[in-house]
Amino acid sequence: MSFFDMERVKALIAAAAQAQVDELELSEAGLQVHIVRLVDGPSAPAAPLPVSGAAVAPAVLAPAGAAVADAPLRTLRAAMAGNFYRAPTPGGAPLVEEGASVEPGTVLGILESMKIMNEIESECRARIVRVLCGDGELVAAGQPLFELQEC
Amino acid sequence: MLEKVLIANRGEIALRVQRACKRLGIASVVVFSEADREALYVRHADEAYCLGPAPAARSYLDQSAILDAAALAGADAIHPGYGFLSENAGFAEKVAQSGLVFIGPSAAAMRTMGDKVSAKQAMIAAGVPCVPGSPEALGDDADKTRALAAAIGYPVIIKAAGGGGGRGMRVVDGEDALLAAIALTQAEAGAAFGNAAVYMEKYLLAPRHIEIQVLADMQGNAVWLGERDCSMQRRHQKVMEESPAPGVDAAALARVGERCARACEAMGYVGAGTFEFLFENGEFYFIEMNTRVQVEHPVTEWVTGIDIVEMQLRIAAGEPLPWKQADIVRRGHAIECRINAEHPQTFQPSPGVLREWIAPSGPGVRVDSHMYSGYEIPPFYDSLLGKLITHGDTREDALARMRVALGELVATGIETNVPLHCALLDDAAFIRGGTGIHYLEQWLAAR
Repeated sequence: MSFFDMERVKALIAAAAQAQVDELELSEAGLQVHIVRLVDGPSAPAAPLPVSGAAVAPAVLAPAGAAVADAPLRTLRAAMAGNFYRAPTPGGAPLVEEGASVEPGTVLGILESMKIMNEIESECRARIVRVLCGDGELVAAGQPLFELQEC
Repeated sequence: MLEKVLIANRGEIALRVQRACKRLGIASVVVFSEADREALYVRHADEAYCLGPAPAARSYLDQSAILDAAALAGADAIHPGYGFLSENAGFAEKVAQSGLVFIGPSAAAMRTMGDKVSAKQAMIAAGVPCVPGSPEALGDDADKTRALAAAIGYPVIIKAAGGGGGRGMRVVDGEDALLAAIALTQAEAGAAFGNAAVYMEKYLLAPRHIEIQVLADMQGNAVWLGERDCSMQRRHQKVMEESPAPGVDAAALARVGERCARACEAMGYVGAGTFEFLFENGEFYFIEMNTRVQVEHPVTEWVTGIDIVEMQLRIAAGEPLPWKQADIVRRGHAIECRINAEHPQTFQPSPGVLREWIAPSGPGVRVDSHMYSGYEIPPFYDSLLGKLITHGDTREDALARMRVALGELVATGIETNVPLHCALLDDAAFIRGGTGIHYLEQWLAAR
């Protein structure tokens, strides 16, 4: 497989999905591909809770559906059920856009739960690949919110 | 008596109001959002109507939907509970215009007490003690300013008239620093808010929060039902409340309580209400009045033996208060712990399925809660799961019973603040009693 043969990577993902394997690891000529299939829903791991007084970072980082080992894609998930907002004020500019680069601690969105506005912070230096939920959307605990590429 | 009451609220207070209705033989009409369909009080209701989707703006705050439900059910009164529309004078007016009874004071009384300036003026007129301060913006007359500060007593705080959110304020400990501090605050206020006007108030270092419960009827009588100490707070949210307030002079409390009752009569106030005060060095300073039943009302109910919610219904039906002030006798000590669905360390909200709920019981234990095993706690509303209230002959007895009750409470599947309550009940300063409103936040920061 030549470097970044995307068609072949996609075919591997499709094959993994069809076979319903949870994990697939291939290496060939120094290139490594690691595919992990995650079942969406509330079975996602509980949030590692930060020990501080502030209501921050209600999100969990988990490996995403398909990832290349040396540039891993990560999914940021909702730590609790609530309403997801992309902007701090209604109708305001989104905190982050797809393609944006973020630092650890950058606020990516807001999760409103039980009348508390919880800031969703990035845990790593990354690029926002995709925003997976719409502004104002009701999300379940464990639901993917952002797809990030660590850098 | 009223025949049918619509309860315009949710959660534990909806259940509490429903219990009072049943006690008086009044049919209860429950309104609920799609998220609260499985609630206990919906099941227990004589009639129940779905208001709309989960968000409060489209259900519990939808005034016309609530009025439509009341008309459909043929209710003769609406109980607003606390929060939501309970202090909305416009809603109270609409209820009255629909020919129904709003269980609470008049819209005019709600408006007066809802505005900080008019509320303070009404209190000064009624002789209720307020935070001493300059009646208007400070002028250029240095001697006058110095005399004012001396009369208020140091420390004083200089506040920007246009400020807010903790900005544009400066504390002054003595006369030497007064004029410089005023000039500096004026300059900052001008730059930050476009308004250089500043005023002066007494600065309270570590006040306690003490409030007076009142009941007033339509015949113009009012009584006060003692005080509650609600100093244990985090981010202005009360965590624990108790009555009586530990170590506060009973005669001083009686003086302020009497003033509150007389203020109700002067205002033509009707129903249950609470005057909130800051308390420091033996002095009371009015902050605001809540024109509704409060979360912590059971504490007062237990020491007085008076059912406050039942009295709200009786007063709304036109019954006069059945007692004079001298008939109000208080016995023992009561304390309430608010049980919230939140992480005890981080305070992150914790909605979700409550797998198992076993409430404590036994002598001196009361639980006001709408929880049951398997209930799904929605993420749309506040995190209050219920209230644990204990009573004893002494404060020590009440605290001992609370420790046992907290130990018996089983709540699994979600996080609760029970461990926080347990830790506070073992805290030496809390056990001594009389901690101030900043105590809990300092305690949390230090642990």
